[in-house]
Amino acid sequence: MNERAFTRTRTTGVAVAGLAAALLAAPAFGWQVESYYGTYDAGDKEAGHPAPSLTGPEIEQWESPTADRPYRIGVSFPHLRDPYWLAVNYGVIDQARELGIEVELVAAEGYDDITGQIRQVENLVNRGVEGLILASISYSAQDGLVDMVTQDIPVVQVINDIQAPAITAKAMVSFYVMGYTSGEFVAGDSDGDITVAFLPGPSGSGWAPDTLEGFKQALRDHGAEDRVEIVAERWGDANRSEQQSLIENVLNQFPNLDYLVGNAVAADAAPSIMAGMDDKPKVVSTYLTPPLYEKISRGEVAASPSDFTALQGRMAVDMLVRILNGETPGEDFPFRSGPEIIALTPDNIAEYTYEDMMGPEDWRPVTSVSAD
Amino acid sequence: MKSTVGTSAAGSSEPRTIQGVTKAGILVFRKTGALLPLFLIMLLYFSFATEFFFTERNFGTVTTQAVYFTIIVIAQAIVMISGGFDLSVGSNVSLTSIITAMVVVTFSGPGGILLAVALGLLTGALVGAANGLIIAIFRVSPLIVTLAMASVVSGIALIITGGGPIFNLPLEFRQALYTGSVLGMPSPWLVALIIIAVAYVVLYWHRFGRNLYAVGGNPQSAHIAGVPVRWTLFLAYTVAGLLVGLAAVLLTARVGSGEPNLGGQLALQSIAAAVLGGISLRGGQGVLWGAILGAIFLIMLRNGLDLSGVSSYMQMVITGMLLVLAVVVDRYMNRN
Repeated sequence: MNERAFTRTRTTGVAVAGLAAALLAAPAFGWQVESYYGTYDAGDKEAGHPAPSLTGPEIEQWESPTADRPYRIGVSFPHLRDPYWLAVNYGVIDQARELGIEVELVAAEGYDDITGQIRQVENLVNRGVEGLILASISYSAQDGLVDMVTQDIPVVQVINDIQAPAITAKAMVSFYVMGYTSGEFVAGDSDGDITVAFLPGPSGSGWAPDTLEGFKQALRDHGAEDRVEIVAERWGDANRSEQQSLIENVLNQFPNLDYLVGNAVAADAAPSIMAGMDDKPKVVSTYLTPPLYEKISRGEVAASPSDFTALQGRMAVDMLVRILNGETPGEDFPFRSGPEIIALTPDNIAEYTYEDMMGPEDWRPVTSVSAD
Repeated sequence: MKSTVGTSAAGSSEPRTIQGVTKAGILVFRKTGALLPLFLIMLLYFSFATEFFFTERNFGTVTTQAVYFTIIVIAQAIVMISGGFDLSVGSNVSLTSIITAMVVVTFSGPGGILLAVALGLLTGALVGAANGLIIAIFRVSPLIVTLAMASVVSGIALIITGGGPIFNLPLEFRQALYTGSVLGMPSPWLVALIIIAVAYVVLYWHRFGRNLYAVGGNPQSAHIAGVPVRWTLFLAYTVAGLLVGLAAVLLTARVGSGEPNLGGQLALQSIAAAVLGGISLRGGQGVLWGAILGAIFLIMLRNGLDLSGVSSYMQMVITGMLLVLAVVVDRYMNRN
């Protein structure tokens, strides 16, 4: 099982769109991923970015392993209360069923329940799970926990980045790249001098500032920073009423706005707010949710990057199974890897599988899987 | 309570013994509401439901999990006995965590750790004192004051940090207050035991404790009887803030970083635990060990439910229903 099961195709900078052909082959042959190999050193690492000690990214095809025996793994989520985490839940559970392993999944009560997640993980370990998939609430508050747990069992991080020097492997994408992809779209889609209002989301979150940073970098990399003016940056909690107020205010201030870019809650709310406007700005999201998928299909939202949320859940299970099979992260398979991010638009959205992004529409959360 | 049982036993009369035990049972029930029977049912259920519950490893896990929460529940119980609430305990934990982490990252060595602990405790106490001052002087509803304080303190924590955590805390800090041990006992356990002992002495052997119950039971009567009502209220919130600060310092060592949302849902959870433990929502009633038992009960319940594989959704339903039950019993006991 120690043979490398990956085909390295090429090395590239950040993700680019236009790999539809490879992704179309996903159901049968895996999917396209960005991978990092080598040894993890958290010393100079920044949140959301790969550790400098890792090499990559390498674009390669992800292939699932087979489990040597029906392992019993634990999974810890920040919560299980929105479509995003339901999609991760689907990815983890469905992959576990395919590989014939057992799962015990717990969910804390949200992003302010740090102590709750620590308690749940400690309890999971006491239940004798053989490995853990952790979607950490905080970038750094679970470092000690990971340190303690990895003395007995491997811990694979999924979705939310974590510093944890002792973490065993990571299945994630960067929200920086999500923002970058949105910036690439705006730079390529627009012509001449344009104005953009950016609504990143909560200022204190571990992801919203990264989307703005990535967006600006994409404009610079595509030589568009002089003609694309970000006239407003409006921060706020990613709830509907907050984002609705922010959009209304920004539209009152800039009635001739060309692009409204921001978090999915804002992008979802924007079309109805702008319904009566003659000259509507184009709406671009920095991540995908189920209602946005519909709005992109109908052309009400111009674009959104997808991080293939459900596939990240699958990859975390695959990584943990490889580790339990005896393979070494960073050598036999990537230490850090995530699906390649693409920008979904009304023109290309039909080419991608909805289940790979958000799971089945009728999916209900599952917290336990037994190997039959 | 003890003498009732003892006298009956010494008299070796079986009906009297049963009567005595029954009376004792009623007294215990009155002090802690429905908690004691619930606790016993819970222990019995989990002993059959999961093989992982009664293990040495799980005992250590539950005890550590209970330490922080118990200290916060004791703080909440003190203000509840005085007739109030403290909805700012969660925000206080967050701000204290930030301050402690900033200091310990800035100043290295044992001196830095001591300074961080001192400033952490001071932060907690200052938040409590601000609550106490407003409530005592202006006689405003503790519900509104502490709710507003929660907003203020959370805002300050977010302004200081910009919303992100403060990490890379020195290992020595974690070793001293989390992984370290004194005489073979983990340091957080020892701190909790000391706090419980001191709280017992202050509440039951010191005038402050008597004044607290008097003010919580009936402030007007307490005032007529010469109890310094305002001073007692101020002290209650300050002491509670100090205890919350202590729990926050220990929690910061546990998570290894300063977190602007570390306190999360502790305010309502601590009120729930105190009420489960028989601390009256109307003030002036309840005992320390009831509150401690309430805290341990909630932690142990979550632990047992986790170990039994009960889903997070169902756990919310179960704990909510138990709280409703406890409040109904509290109401029934006070009416009778």
